[in-house]
Amino acid sequence: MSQYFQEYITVGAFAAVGVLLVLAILGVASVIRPSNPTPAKKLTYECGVDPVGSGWSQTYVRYYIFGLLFVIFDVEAVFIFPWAIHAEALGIGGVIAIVLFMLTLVEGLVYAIKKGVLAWE
Amino acid sequence: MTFAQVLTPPSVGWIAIAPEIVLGVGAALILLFDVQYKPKRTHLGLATAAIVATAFAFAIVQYDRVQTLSQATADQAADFVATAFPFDAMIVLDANAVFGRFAMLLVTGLGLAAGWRLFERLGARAAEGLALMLLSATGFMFMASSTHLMMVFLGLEVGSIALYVLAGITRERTESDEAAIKYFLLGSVASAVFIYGVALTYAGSGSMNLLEIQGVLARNIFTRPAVLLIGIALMVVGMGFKVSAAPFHSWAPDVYQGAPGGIVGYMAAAAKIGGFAALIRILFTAFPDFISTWGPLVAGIAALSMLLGSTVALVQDDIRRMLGYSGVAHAGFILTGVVAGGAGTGEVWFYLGVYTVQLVGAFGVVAAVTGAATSGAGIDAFRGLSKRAPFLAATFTVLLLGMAGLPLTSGFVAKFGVFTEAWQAGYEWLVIVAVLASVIAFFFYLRVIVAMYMEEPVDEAVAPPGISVRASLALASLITIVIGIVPGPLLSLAGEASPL
Amino acid sequence: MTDFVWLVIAFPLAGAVLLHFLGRRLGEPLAGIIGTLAAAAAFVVAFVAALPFIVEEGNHGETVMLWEWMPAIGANLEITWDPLAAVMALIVTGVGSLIHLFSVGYMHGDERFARFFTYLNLFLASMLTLVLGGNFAMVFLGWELVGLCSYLLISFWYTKPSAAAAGKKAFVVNRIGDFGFMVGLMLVFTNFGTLAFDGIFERVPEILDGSTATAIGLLFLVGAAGKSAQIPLYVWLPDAMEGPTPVSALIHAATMVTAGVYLVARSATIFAAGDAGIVVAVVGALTALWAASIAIAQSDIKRVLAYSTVSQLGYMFIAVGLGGYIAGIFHLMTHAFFKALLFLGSGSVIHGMHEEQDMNKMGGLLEKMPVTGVTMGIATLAIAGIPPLAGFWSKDEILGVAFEYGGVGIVLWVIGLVTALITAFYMTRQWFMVFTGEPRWEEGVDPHESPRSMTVPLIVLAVLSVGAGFLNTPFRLTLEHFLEPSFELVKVAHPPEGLGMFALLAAISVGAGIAGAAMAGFVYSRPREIWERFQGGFGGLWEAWQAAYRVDDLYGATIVTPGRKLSERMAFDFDAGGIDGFVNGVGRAVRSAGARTRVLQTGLVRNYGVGFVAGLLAVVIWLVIAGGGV
Repeated sequence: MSQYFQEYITVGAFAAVGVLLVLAILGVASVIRPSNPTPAKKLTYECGVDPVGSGWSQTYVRYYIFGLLFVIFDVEAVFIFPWAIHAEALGIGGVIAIVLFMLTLVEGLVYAIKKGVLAWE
Repeated sequence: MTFAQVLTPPSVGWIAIAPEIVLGVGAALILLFDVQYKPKRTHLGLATAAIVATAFAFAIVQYDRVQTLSQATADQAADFVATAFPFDAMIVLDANAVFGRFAMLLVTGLGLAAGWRLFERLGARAAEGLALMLLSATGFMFMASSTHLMMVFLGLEVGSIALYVLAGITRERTESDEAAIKYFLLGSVASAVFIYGVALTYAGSGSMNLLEIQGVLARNIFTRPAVLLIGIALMVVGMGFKVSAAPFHSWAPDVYQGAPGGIVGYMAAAAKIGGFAALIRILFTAFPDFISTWGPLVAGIAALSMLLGSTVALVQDDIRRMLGYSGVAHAGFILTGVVAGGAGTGEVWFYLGVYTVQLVGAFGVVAAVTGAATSGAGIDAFRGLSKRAPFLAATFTVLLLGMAGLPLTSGFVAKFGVFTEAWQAGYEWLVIVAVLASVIAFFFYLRVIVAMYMEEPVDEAVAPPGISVRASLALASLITIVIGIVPGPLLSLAGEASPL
Repeated sequence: MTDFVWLVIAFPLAGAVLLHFLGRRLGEPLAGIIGTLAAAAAFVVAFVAALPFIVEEGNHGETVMLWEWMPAIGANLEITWDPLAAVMALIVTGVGSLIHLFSVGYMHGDERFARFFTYLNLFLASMLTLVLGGNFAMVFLGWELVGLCSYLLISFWYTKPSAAAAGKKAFVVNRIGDFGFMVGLMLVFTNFGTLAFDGIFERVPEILDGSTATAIGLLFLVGAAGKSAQIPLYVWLPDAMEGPTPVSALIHAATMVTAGVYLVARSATIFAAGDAGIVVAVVGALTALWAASIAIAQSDIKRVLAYSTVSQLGYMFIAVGLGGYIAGIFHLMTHAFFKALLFLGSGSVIHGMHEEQDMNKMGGLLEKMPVTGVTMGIATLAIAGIPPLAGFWSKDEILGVAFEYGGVGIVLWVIGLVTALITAFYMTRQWFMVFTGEPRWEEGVDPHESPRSMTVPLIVLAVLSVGAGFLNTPFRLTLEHFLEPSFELVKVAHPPEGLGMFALLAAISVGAGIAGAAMAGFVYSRPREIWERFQGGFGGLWEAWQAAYRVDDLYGATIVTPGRKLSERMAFDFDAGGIDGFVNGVGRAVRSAGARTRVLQTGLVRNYGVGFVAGLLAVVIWLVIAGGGV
């Protein structure tokens, strides 16, 4: 048994203790707490709008496209912010790179618009 | 830093990724042109062909550059590094990368021509199909030309995701959707496995640059071998999936059967080239000193692939599934060359080159016989083909015999090469398994040939294939025969293709 | 000097190409005549090219390079034109031409007449590639191609299910042999670094140690046993008789099946360096006796000849195994003549009897078919080893080699003698059953002599069956001197010296032959009841022979069925059930999309563990353990 694996024994022990602790607390709680369920209590959310139907219901497919586009531009932002912070240090090369990156996304957007994806009709 | 300095763009070895740029920009332009001007599909096809040809021209320029580089003297060392390892050594310009591009572009061109009827059927979505094809080629070419595991992974994803979509591009048909979903689900897990392997490798060596990894491992007695070994194993498994090696092959027959006929050949061939290019690069560049560890592992996968692929192919009644399982066996044959380590690079590339051409050609015939936008290809459709479509029957025969490895076809030279390398590397048992598998494999190829020539034709008439299909099939058969008779030039070209 | 020798291969190849494209337009009989001319032209070229060996004693011949294919591994398109290649080429093209000629008559009226000659010409070209190739790559190429042609020709009448099955069987069994041959080649290449004969045979003593040489020899034996139908791979040859009779004569008697003998003779130096030779001889002897005993009880005219061929090939294996290469090649040649004659004769009989092959339904044909009857009679005497016919000289030389070898050789000699007796018996039995006695024809059958194009080859072959033996008698060793340059590197085994010894051994073997022939003649020249009483005297043994010892059933139960099961299990249980099952689940889920999407999710998680991750874990665990990482 190498040093390397001995280190993991510690991890394993911690994990085991963690699991046991949770089980113990929940177990004890389920034994000693009073149980008085009502339909309202068993709802997923106890306040706000009542959930209706199954969670596996279908969504209108056009929302999906908007969702997708949103994610794309979200990710774009994730890339642009770190670049902006270091823009000066990265110099013109960085500008070129980020412009190329944005152009790629713009191309996708143009294509989507031209294809009529964004028209709700 | 002065303003002028800021404005001076860094000198970048653009030539090292010129073919990829051409393909990527070409794909974007095709999409934009399509939505703006609604060109004829034939024009789109010609434009795509022109893009592939331009990329090929750049690859030839690169080949020339690599030739010059190989003669670099010591005082040109700085120049050498700048040209050979541009982009902070994320990319490498070496014979291995260039040969990968040659193979990839050849397969793309052939696949485009052989599957042209599919793009015609796609109607308004033809441009999307073409762009996806170019993009996947871009991705897989990056796999061959990167020395950085992150780049390899990016290439893998670009290439694979494009292929997932291509598999489902005839989305009106449930079989096509089914193939795409299967391919996507299984493929993403394989990608995850691969990236986990990359992470563990990084943990074990402190770098993701293959050359640095090799350097680190050569200097140090590494401290955490298990992490590194698991990392290697996971990367091998991930690539094993891409090249459909057993036991990670289960997607291949189903996807080959379900995906639209016109694109299957390209899909199968491109994934094989990309996967093996990366596998060669990773194992030979980063872990040459670990060959005693991964060698037997790869050998085991190879043996299982060959035996499983060739026995299961025997009982398939669908030609596409049969070719799928034969692809599993061929992955095993190629891995037989990989176990030899760096010495086998040339043979592996040679095998890859000739096999993928045969594969694209064979699926091209299948598409011409059973339809470019359909799924499945029962053997019944091939009975008596020699009477109904002699050209297709003849080219299919040549390609199948090439896959079977009959002497005087390129397949024989390829098999002989990898077997020899494995034997000289001390894997006699693997060669015996390989010979056994190729003996078994002969049957199912022959079965198709017999069905075409010696059985009564079914009544279905085969629509005469178009000019591009004819040209590509003729070219693929011609390559199979010519390389079989004059293998010298390609052997020496592939022989140079070892990674830096 | 003999640069033009490539024409020997080129003529039949060109014939095949021409007939493939123009065959149907040329029609009958022009296609057949062109095919025959191509074969004859090859014979003429081979003969002219062989003249230097006759004129000049000790001429080694030369290697003619045609095209550099893969020079790095010594695999080029090159021809080794030496006496051994010349003898083989002359036999193949000579007998081949006659059989082509015969086929013009025999295949008359077949709707695929031209296609038949395409295949025959292609076969000739392949066989010549095999025997003329100057390196193992070309031999292997020919080896594969003759197998392919044999397959095409056996199942030529593919609408007959039995023919298609026989073709498949031949192919499968041959592939088993090819496996051995391929591994053997791999071993040769890794030891010598080349496949070229020039770089191999001369360097055998310096490179190969005894055990490697033995290993290569045994692997070659596996290949040779497949091609030349030796135990345990002989089972395909009797079934191959489903093909047209000229095919049986050409491929399954005279030429292709002798490829194994040729291979051993060609690799003589390798066999001489190890101990594989004696194994070859023992396999040959066992096959000779085994097949001969089966031939006794067959009633199909072609099956008798098929088992007889297997048995005679066994003789050749005895010879080459013990180092009597020249004796082996000599018997190969005489056998090619008389066995081709027997097959063509049987073809003539079958033709005249309206496709009847059962000897029980023949009889009394001598009057109706005099040429066929007499020529077949000559061949029967030749194979029975009656002097001075060809078979006597060659068979006796082999027996002499075995006797001189001593030790195990004596045992082989005894087996050979017993086989000689049995051979004489069943061949004589066949002749009497077919040509004498009361006619037992089916109604409506009207036997007639075959046309001239069929009888001329019979007569030529009959002359050769009588005369060819004089090429190599103890009094005049013409063939021996001719072939000697090809076997300079090894010690060739010979029969005992001296005419007295020769006379003694000859007397014994001729005695055995005459005894067998006389017994058969005595029984089968008389009415049928006598035969049946005679056959009944053997009891169950006769039935075992009739059923060929049920070897086919044995293979079916032990190898074929389990093999198919394994393949199916791999495909349908292992691959389809395990991993595909999940994948199909996904497919079903997609089809009934929407509400049942849940199935897709759970299906994924559960079944993923089965396939991919199982393999993954196996790989990781194995690598970590084997890599010593822990």
